[in-house]
Amino acid sequence: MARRDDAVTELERAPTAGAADTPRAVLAVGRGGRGKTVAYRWMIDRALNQGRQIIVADADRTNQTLAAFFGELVMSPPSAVDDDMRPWLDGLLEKAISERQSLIVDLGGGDQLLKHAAIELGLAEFLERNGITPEVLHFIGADSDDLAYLHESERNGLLAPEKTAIVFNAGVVPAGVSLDTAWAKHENDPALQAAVARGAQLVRMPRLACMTLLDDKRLRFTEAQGSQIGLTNAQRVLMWLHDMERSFAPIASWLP
Amino acid sequence: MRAHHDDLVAEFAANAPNWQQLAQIFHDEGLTDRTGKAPSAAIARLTWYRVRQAVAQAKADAKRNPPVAAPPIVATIPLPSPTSPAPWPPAGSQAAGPGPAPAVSGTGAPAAGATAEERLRAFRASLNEGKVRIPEPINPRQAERKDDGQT
Repeated sequence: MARRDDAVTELERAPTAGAADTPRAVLAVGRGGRGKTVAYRWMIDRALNQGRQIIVADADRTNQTLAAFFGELVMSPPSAVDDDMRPWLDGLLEKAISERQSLIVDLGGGDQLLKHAAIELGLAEFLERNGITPEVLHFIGADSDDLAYLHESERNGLLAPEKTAIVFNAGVVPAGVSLDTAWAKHENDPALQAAVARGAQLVRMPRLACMTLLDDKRLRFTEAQGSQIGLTNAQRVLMWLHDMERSFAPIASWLP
Repeated sequence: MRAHHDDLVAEFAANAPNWQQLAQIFHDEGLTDRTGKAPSAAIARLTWYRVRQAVAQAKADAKRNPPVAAPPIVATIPLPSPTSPAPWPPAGSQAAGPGPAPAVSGTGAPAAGATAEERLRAFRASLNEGKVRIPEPINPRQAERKDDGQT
């Protein structure tokens, strides 16, 4: 039987090698609905349960999902206009640097804020020079257009740090399409090949069948109890947590 | 920048670079991005970042494997444009990257030193892990014939 304690224990057992040795900025990018926020929720749960403090910022101008799940832990911009968001991002970066803490910034799909910072500040270089390891995670599903952000990053190199990963989210592959069929569409993409050739990691993000239940109830993965979502779904969450650890193992040391 | 890397490191340590001014100097020297435009401060700074990454990588490679010369890198990279469309793949894009594929590859990836193609193929294969397979037929007719020596 899966209980909340099981899920918490699962996260606590997660491999911690390299974690938090160096503060890092985890920048998840990609189109909307490709799993960026879900992955962040998992990373935050994981970090908190392993006793690490991180700075969490919800910069999604449409849905403040992280704030809904993690409440006061999350920093939000004063408004959704660029004139407010840009100095707010500056403040976040400086806070992470001065406090030597890892940083998570959840942006809405296609948001230009990071791109602007990449151009204006040389973001990856700036972070690295100030002791924060930049990590860019490209979240993609089955659509060819999901690689658009990767195309731009690889072409102009503005947000293409050494620690780059392509996260293929099985959870957004349409029903009736097998994962390898969906992935095959991407395999010959020149930007993907270029990224992998320079060392980008490939990660499969597993699907959680009862994700919408957790979303609707604003339940953190560690809170998923049988009394709230049913015993079988609680077990599914536990299995998913196992699978997430296994899937993200190649970049486990990157996680905050 | 690559050729004068060490001098520039010392110089920039003493005096923070004024990228706007440096971009103007590059422009005056006739340097452009691949589209022929004058280099911007952001691109000049990015190029310096890449030079430092490339030199660090080359030093690491040389330390790991002394007989192999450091790969030719940034000196031949044209300045990219952040706004203009460019042909794909960009010239020197491999060299501009932070280094070769690491020893530990992504999920399902094969051994260290695998090519991008091999890693992508291995990743695809890994997506089938956990699938319930169609079982092999038990005692198929063809096998019976072979066993009976009637072929």
